[in-house]
Amino acid sequence: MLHYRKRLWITMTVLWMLSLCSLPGASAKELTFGMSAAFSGPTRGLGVEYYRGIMAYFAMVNAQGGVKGNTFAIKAYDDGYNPGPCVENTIRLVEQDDVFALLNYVGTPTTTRMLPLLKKFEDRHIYLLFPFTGAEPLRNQPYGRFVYNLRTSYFDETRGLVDHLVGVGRKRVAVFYQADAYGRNGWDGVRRALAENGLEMVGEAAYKRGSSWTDDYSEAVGIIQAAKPDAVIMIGSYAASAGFVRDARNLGLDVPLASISFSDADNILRLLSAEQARTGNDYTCCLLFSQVVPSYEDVTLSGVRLYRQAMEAGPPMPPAELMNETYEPRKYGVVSFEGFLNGMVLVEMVRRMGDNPERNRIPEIMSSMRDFSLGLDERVDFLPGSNQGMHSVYYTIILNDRLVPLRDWQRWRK
Amino acid sequence: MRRLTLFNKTLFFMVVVFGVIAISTSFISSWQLNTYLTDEYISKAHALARTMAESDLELMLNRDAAAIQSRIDQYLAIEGVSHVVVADSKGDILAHTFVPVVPENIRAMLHDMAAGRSLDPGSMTPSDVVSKNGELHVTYPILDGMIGYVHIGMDLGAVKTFIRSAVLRQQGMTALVFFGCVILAWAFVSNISRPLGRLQEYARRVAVRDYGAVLNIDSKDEIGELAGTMTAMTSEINDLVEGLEDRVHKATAQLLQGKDDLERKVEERTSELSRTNIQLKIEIAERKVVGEALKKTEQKYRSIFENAVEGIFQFSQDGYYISANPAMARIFGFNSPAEFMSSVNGGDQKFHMDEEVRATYMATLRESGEVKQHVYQLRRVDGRVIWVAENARVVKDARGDVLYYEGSLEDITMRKDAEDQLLHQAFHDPLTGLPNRVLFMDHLRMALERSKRREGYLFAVLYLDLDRFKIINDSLGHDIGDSLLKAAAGVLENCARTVDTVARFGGDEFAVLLEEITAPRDAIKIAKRILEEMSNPFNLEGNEVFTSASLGLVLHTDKYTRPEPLLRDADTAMYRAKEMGKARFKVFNQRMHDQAIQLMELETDLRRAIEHVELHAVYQPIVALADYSVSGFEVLVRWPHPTQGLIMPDAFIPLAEDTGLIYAIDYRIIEQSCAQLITWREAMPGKFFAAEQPMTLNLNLSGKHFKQPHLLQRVEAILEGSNLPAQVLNLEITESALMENPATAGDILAKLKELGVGLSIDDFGTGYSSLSYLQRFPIDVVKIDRAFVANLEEDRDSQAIIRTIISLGLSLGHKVVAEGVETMGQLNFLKEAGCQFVQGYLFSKPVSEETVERILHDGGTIQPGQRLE
Repeated sequence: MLHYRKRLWITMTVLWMLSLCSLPGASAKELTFGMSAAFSGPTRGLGVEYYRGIMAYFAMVNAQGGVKGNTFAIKAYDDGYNPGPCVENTIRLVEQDDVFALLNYVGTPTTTRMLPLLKKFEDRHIYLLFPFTGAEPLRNQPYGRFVYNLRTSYFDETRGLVDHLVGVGRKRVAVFYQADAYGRNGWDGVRRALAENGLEMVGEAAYKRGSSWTDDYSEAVGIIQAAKPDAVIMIGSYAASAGFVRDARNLGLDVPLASISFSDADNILRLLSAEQARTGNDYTCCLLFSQVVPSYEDVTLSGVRLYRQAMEAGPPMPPAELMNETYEPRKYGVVSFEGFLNGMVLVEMVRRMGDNPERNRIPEIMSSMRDFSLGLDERVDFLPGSNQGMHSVYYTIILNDRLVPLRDWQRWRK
Repeated sequence: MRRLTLFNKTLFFMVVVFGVIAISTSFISSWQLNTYLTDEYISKAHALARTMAESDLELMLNRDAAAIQSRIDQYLAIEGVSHVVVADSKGDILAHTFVPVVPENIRAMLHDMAAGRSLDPGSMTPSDVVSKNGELHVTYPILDGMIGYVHIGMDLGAVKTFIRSAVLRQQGMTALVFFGCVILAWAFVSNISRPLGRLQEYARRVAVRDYGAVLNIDSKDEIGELAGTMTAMTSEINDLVEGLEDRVHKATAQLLQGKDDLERKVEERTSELSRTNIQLKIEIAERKVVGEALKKTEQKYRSIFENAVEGIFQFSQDGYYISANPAMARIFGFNSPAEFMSSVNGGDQKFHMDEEVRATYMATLRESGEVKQHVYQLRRVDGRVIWVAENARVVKDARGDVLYYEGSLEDITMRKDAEDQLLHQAFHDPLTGLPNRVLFMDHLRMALERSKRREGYLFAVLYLDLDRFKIINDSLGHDIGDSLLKAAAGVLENCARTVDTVARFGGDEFAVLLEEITAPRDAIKIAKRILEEMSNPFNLEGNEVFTSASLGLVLHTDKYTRPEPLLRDADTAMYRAKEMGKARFKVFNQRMHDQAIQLMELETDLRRAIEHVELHAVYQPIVALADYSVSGFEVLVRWPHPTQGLIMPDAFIPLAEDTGLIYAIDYRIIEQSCAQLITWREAMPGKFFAAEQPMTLNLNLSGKHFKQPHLLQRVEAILEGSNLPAQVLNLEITESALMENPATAGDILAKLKELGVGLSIDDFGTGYSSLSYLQRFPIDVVKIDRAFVANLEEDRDSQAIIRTIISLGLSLGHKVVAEGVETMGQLNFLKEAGCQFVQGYLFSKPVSEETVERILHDGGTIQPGQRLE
C-alpha cells in the first residue's frame, strides 16, 4: 500500500514539475473539446461515466496547471443516443462553440450519422477523437481519416468472442442486436467471424434502439431460443442487454450470453444484481463481456492505480443542465476507465504540440504516437495508415457480484 | 298526418337518388385516389431506392454493414417507408430495418430474386410487388444486380387512411346538399297540401250532412275552381235529402206498433225455454263428472297393463286371444300386441313346444277355473326357446257364465338356467365335468334299489387312482397335473358305456358305476381296457407323460344294502392292487374282506396298546470289530399282544404309519429310551454312556416324520428335558424313507444335525438312492442292509456291493455298520472288507434292559459266537 502511494506521489510530482517547466513562454488558455453523448434516456450511464472518466484526468492535469498553461475543458451536449440531435450538437459545437476537437462521442448510430460533417468541416480541421464505439465506418474510408480511435474495433471484439466460443465447442451462435448501425456492425462482425470458421449464424433477433431495462424482450428470446443456440452474442445497449439476459433466464435459455464493450458491463451488473436481489433468481451466471480496456481491479497496472487515485478524488459530474434524470455515479467502471485513458492520450497529444496547439497538427501528432505507454500491458501505437491506437480485447465474467477477468475458457466448453 | 304522405314519397325518392349518388362517387373517387396515391408511393419508393443504389455504391462494394445501416435508418423517417433491406447479389442480407427479424416472405422473395438473376443477367429492372398485407415492396438492383439490391417497403396503410378521410369529406358534402333539398321539398309540398286539406275537411262535413259549412278558398288556380263546384253541389243534395226524410218518418211509426206486439210474445216463449235449458245444463254437468271419474280409473289400470313387466292377456273360451299387453308381445318376440294377437290367433305358427302340455293346461283351466305357476317351454317367433311361468283364471259374468280367461305370463328362462347351473355345479366336479361323489353315491343308491326290485339286474363298481400322480403333479406342475386328470377322465368316459356313471372323487381318485352288465366278466373287460388305455402315454402340452392306474373292482354287489360299504370295499381292492405292484386291477373277495376286518381289529388293539403303554423297547448291541467292545445299542420296539403273543415291528409299524399312530410310538420309545439312558449314566458314572466317547442309543425314525413339522421341536424338547448330550442319540432313517422326498428330508436332517444328534442311514443299498446322496445328506453312519449280509456267502454280487458300500462309506468318513451278522464266515468277510462295526445274532439278539446292564457290568464286550439272548 505504502509502496503504491509512494509511486503515485512520485508520478504526481513529476507531472507537477513538468507543468512548471512548461509555464514560461506559454500563453495560458483553456482548450475546449466538444462532446455529444447520451446524458438522458436508457443509455445515459455511458455518457455520464465517459465524461467523468476523462474529466478525472483533466482535473488531475488542470490541478497541476495544465500543459504549458493550457488547461482542458469539455463542452458537452446531450443527444440522448439519437442521430438527429447528434448532428445538431456537432454543428453547434463547431460553429458556435468553436471547439478544438470533437471528443468522447458515444454511440455508433450517432457518430456514423455525423461523419459527413467532418468532411464538410475539412477546411476547418475538425477531427473526432476517441469515440466510444468500435464501428467500422469510423475506421474505414471515406470518413476514417477524420477520426482517431483509441479502443479496438467491434470486429475485433466479435471475432475474439466467436473464435473463443467456437474454440470451446459452442458452434451454434445467435445474435441479439440493436436495429441500427451499431447493432448491424456487431451483427456483421459476428457473421464475418463465423464465416471465417466456416459457420453460419443460427439465429438473430433485433430490438429497437431506445428500449429500456423495463421493456419486455421475451419475443426476441423466443426467436433465439427456437434456433437452439450454444451461445448468444448481444450487440446492444446495457439496458436492453440486461433486459434480454433477465428474460432469457426467466424463459429458461441458459446458454452463455456474451456482450461487447459498448454494453457497459458495470451497468449490466448493477441492473441484474438489483433484479437478483428482488426475485432471488440467478441472473449473473454464464455472462461474458468483452472489454477494450483491462480490468480496473488489476491494480498491478500503474495506469489502473492512477485511474483509481483520480476517481477517489471524485471527478466532476456533467453540468447540471445535462443531468435532468437521476443517476447514481459508480466509483469505478470500465467506461470511466476508458474515458480516463482517452484523457491520457489527449493530454499527451496536446503536450506533443508544444507551446502552440493547433487543430491542423492533429494528424501529424497522432501519427507520431508510437509505442506510448499508458501504464498498461498494451502500449498505444498508431501504425501508419491506421487510425486506431489499441487492439487488445479483454474478457470478464461476473463472480460473486464483481467483474473479474476470465482466466479459463474451458469452463465454457459445451 | 295525411298531409305528409305526399312529402314522404318525395323524401323516399330523394333518399334513393342521393344514396346512389353518394355510393357511386365514393367508389369512383376512392378508386381514383388509390390508383393515384399508389403510383405516387411507387415512384417515391423508386426514387428512394435509386438514390440509395446509386449514391452509396462504395459502401455496398465495401460491404460496410454499419455504414449501410446508418443510411437506411434515415429512410425510415420518410413518410410511408416501412422497411428497407439491402442484400448482396446472392440475396444475403447486408442490412435491414426489421425488428426483431426479417419476415419469412421477404426473405423468400430475396432468395427467389437472386436465383432469377443468375438465370438471366440482363433482365433486371426495377420491379414492384404489392404484398398481401397492404405493403408495397419495391426492389431496385444495384448495378444491374451485380452488387446487390435495395428493397424498400411502403406501408399502404397511410394511403388507406387518406382515402378514408377524402371519402368521408365527400360524404359530408353530399349529406349537406341532401338536407337542403329536403327543406325545400317540404316547403313546396306544404303549399299545395294546405288548400287540399281544407277541401277534404269540407267534403267530410257534407258527408255527415252538415250542409251549412263554409268553404273559403279563393285561389285562382285548379283548386279554386274545384271549391266553387263543390259548394253548388252541396246545396242541391240538401234539398233532396229533406223530402226523403219526411216520408220515412211516417212509415216508421206504423212499423213500431207491430214490433211491440211481437216482442211481448217472444218474451213469454223465451222464459219458458230458459227454464228447460237450466235443467239440461245441470244434467250435463253431472254426467261429465261421472265420465271423468271413469276415465281416470280406466287410465290408471291401463297404465299398469301397458307397463307391466309380465305379459298380461285375456283369451276366449276357445283359446282366441282377446287382448294382450306389450310385455306379452315382447315375450313372444313381437313388436306390438296387435302383431302378437294376429299371429297367435291366425294359428300359422306353433308357439307351444308340447301341445299335450297345452291341452292339459286348458283342461285344468276349464275344470278348476284357475291355473297357477304353470311352467313350460315356448318357442318365440324368432325361434328361440324360452321357459315361462303362466298364471290364469276364469272370468265370469253376474249370472255365472264364462266370459273369458285372463292371466299373466313371465319369462323365467334366466332363473331356470341359473337353477340348472347351480344344480350341475352341486353334483359335478368343476375340473373334469364328471359327476362328483354326491351324484355317484346317488346313482349307486338307485342302482342298489333297482337290483333289489329287478331280478337278474347286475352292476359293478370300479374304483381307481393314478399311480405316481403326486410325483407328476409335483415335478411337472399343477397345470400338467390338471391336464392329466382331464385326460384320464376322457379315457374313463371313453371306456365306459353311456349307461355307466364315471365320477371323480377328488385328487386322482375316480369311480365308475357299471350298470346293466350281463355278467361279471363284462366289468373285468372294461377294467382291462381302462388299464390298457391308461398305460399309453399322454401328450400334455408338449410333454409326454406316462402313468398307469390301479383298479379295485366290486363285482358281487347283491349282498350290499348301502352304498358306503360297497365303495369302501372297492377302495380296499384298489389299495391291494397298488400293494401288489400297481398298474393292475384287483377284484374284491372274501379274503380281502377278512384281512380288512383283521387289520381294523389290529388297529384297535394297537391304539389300546399305546394307550396302556404295552409297547416296550429292547436293545441290540452294536459291536466294534477292533476289540469286540459294545459301541452302542439299537433300540427296537416290541408289542406283547394279549392274544396273539409277541408282535414284531414289521407286523404293526406299516399299520401305525398308515394310521398316524407312528408318531405316538416313536416319541414314546424316544422318551422311554432317554429315561433309561439317564438311569444308566447315573449308575455308571464316567463309563459307557457317560464316557468321554459315549456309547450311543440308535433309534429308528419313521419316514413319516418328514411330513410332520413337530419332529425337530420334539427331539429338541426331549434332549433339553433329559439334559443329555445330543451325541448319545443316533437317529436311524431308512434309505427308502429319505428317497421319498429327498429335498425335505435333507432340510430336516440338516436341522437335526445342528442339534448335535447323530444320523444313520438304515437299510442302505435297498432304496435305489443315487450314491451322491451319501455325500449330500449330513449322515454319520451307514448301515448295510441285512439282506446283503445274509447272501454274502453264496452271492458274489452281494460281496461286491458290500465292499463298495464299505469303501465308499469309509472314504466319505462315515462309520459303516453291517446288520444281521449271524455266522463267522460273514464276520470274517466283513472284517476283511474293512467293516468296523457289526450287529447281529452272532453277538446278540435284541435284549432287555437287565441284560444290557449285565453286559456293561461284565466289561462291555461281546465275543463272536456268544449269541446273547
